[in-house]
Amino acid sequence: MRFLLIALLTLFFMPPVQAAEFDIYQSGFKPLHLAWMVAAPTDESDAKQLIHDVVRHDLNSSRSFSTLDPLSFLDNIEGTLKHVEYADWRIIGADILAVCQLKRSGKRLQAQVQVYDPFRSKLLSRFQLTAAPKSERTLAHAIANRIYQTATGIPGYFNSHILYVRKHGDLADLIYMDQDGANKQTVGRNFTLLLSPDWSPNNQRVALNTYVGDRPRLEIFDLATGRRRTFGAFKGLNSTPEWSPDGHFIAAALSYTGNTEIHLYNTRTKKWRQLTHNPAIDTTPTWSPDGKWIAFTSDRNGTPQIYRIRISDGEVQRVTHSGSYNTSPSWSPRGDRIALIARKSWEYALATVRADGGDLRYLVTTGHIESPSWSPNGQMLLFSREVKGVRRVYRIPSWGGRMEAITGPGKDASDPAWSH
Amino acid sequence: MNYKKYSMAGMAAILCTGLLFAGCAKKEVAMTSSNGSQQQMSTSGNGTSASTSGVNSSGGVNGEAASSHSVYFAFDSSALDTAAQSILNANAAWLKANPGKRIAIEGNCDERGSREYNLALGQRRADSVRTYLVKQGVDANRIDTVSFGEERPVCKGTGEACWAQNRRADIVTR
Repeated sequence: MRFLLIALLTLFFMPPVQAAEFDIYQSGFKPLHLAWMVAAPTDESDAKQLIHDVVRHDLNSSRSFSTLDPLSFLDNIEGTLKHVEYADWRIIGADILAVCQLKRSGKRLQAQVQVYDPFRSKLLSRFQLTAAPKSERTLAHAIANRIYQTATGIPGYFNSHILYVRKHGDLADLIYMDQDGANKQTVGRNFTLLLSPDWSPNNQRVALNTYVGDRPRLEIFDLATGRRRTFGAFKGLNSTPEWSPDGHFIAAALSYTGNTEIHLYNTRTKKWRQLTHNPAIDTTPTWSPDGKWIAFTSDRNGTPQIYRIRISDGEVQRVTHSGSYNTSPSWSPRGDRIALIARKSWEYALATVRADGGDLRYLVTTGHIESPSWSPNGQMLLFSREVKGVRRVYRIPSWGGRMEAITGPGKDASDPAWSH
Repeated sequence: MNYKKYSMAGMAAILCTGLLFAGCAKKEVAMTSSNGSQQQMSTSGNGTSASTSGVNSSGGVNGEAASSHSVYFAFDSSALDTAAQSILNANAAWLKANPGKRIAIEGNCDERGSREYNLALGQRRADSVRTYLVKQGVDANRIDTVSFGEERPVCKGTGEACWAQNRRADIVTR
């Protein structure tokens, strides 16, 4: 028995296998300690619990916050609503104090929120939000957004959504869910291969790559109606669509010229034009948020690397210089960095690099990592990771740290796409 | 007349991977190219029994099918080695003898690397085969190409023996 215990303990405490190939980026980032309290009339205890839990989960999962255990609080919410004793919050190390009062007006739940900085003895913001009937999760996400923005200066992303692909046998479904995994639903069923879904800037449509009759095509999928429209079905490859930030174009990789090149589809005139001209593979376009550049993968110097092309004059610059296999660029919505997948011998890593090619950071390794996708505020990254034949979608802060699976181990999940 | 699809081809490839591959492929080609079509018809028949190549070749109405319809590639490469060229020569001969037939070349990759980049790599493999066949005199308009990237592996495991089978282009009639 003792041996078994020791064996078990050894298993648990074995350090994770060290990545031989990649130096994982170590950030000095520390989350803000948050004290979070909700008050509500006694007959609203369910709503109170829901708002409390959803906001706490949102802010903790962002890794920008770490909520403090309410057992450590020296003051209760009733007292705090009347008077904030800043010293009591400083003692327990609360960087941010957020208090919320709920009340019902008709069918609508109303939240009155104050956010304080105990170390500066200061009210940072006060706001009131009202939920549409039966949208209490949405209200909670909106509260989390405001607390997040007040404390960090960066907009929150908690009302955003995630699409991913689930393969079953030879077919694939398109799955939709809230960013916290709630409200999960299958919005497209039984595609024959489904790759590279990408949200339109207004989040109403999805560009995707599927196969019909064993031929690849590009389609726009309307999320509200389920309607599908083909916009690219050339000879050869039709792949990797990505909307421009203004929604005017969709960039994609086509091979009808005899070689895979980036092309631009004008969503208004419905005409295509060729953007890259190089005998190498050029694929996986991703737009800079100002719409002036496209980063892409090319093997024009022998191995796949990330390049970027200026759309106005076709000027091409190489972005990645380290490692022999860098693919799948995804340009951050903040514009400063590009996420990518690096492969060195047997290992993969999710990495980010400055848009000018500097400061390459490997964030996570082990497993077959693919398809990085940024949160709309550029603070988090989704990716898929396959370990022992099981693919799941994971999330990690853009500054690195611990990855967290957001899909279960039982069902396949790949090609995550975060809404705008 | 479909010599489509490959459970048998996969098994053949298992036998033929690595060092064995080149010799194995050459042997088949010698068999097809040195002899007339009728000979080949009678030996590998209508495909009910596996030939040495293992390809379930369905024989044909006019002339024989080449005994292998798959060529294999090195990692991140679309270059055709001599074994691949021999197989394609046999296929080109069959195509020229059967001018009514149309084919598709399906490019595939192993699971390593990015799925999206592999789509383009599979296409380049298919295009490379197409270009070769056209150089051998096959009408380009009879040849369609498609890439499945790493989405349709013949061998679902990992390791080089498996990956070698998945880095391939298949010639199928459509």
